[in-house]
Amino acid sequence: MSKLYTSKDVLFYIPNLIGYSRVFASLFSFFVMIFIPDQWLLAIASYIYSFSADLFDGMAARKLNQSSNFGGLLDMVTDRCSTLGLLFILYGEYGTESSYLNYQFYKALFLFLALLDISSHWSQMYSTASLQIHHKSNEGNSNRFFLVKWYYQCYPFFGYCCVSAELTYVVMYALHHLNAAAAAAAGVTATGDNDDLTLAKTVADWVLKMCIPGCIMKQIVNVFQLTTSCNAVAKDDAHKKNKSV
Amino acid sequence: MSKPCCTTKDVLIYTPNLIGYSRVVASLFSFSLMIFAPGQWLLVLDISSHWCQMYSTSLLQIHHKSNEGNANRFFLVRWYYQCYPFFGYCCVSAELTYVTMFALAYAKEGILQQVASVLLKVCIPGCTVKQIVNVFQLTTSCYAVAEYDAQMKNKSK
Repeated sequence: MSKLYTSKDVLFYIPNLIGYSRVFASLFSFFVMIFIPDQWLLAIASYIYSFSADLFDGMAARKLNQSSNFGGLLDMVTDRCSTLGLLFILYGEYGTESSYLNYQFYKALFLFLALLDISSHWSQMYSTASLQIHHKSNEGNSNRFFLVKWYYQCYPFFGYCCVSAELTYVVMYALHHLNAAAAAAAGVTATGDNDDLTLAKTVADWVLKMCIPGCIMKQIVNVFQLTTSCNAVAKDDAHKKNKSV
Repeated sequence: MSKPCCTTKDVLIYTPNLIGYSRVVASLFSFSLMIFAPGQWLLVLDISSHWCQMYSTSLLQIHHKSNEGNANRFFLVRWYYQCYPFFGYCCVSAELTYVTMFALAYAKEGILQQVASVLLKVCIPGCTVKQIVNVFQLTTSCYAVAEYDAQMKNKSK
């Protein structure tokens, strides 16, 4: 007699266990960012683990035949809450009045990014769950704006955009702390330490410049996702209304 | 030969109950953190609970507000869905809590400060109940999706 699966089995699938470790790592990184800001590098390491493990839970699901809707949901909610949490932290760090930051610009920027992320992914998820079509399917994408087409048809491009968006936020968090450390160390520590700090800042700046284009493209794709998924839901409504008349 | 009678202790250490205890610990831990970093936790809870709820109802095509679905739920959750004034009070209180906190950040004296303080005290219980309902929504909707996955898997065999 073959095994009867229960929800508990699904909750304990290996990819979902990986998913729970992602949740924990994200929450841990926020805990450190808020309560132990000196350990900002540890916070970044934890956050990056959470983000990278997204790749592993998908692979594990396919390899072990343990794909599930719950796993997809866990993934999506973890991604959204992690990004939102980091944007919240960035709002707090960049959004304070100071002499060298246009703090109101940063407040508006992080708020906008959070609102766009939630609204676009939410509409997308709702439209695919209730319309039962996959937004990544080729037929669905043939008439789309070229950036959106590339985004779904070219995996390296998709990977670059997604990773860049996350890295942009992570590097902005790092730079804020590197700048603060440099300001505190100016003229106080030996030249050697300053060199390390300068090198770190240079690398961070360089990574940021590489990632900003990808982050911008992801936001553009988000806008398209938001509009087309809302349109698809409205179309389905009209369709249903016509059927019921 | 049948297994010896199940004792109370056996039941107390059923795996689902162990999971339940970890949930209690997690809730208490999260509430303690909320005192110190409330904004971030309220945000994460709001998004995750509503998202899971929306996804589970879309996928399972059932409405979370249906009465049959709610018969066995925790009393606060039942009241929330069955008594419209209570539901209204909780939802409005949650939003007003945030609005009055914003007002109080800027109004340090005068009539606005007094009105906002009173309003805040009236709203905090409702906001708290809403957060508790959110926690239940989050857990039950995740469970419902996992149950659906198990059913699908059984059907496909």
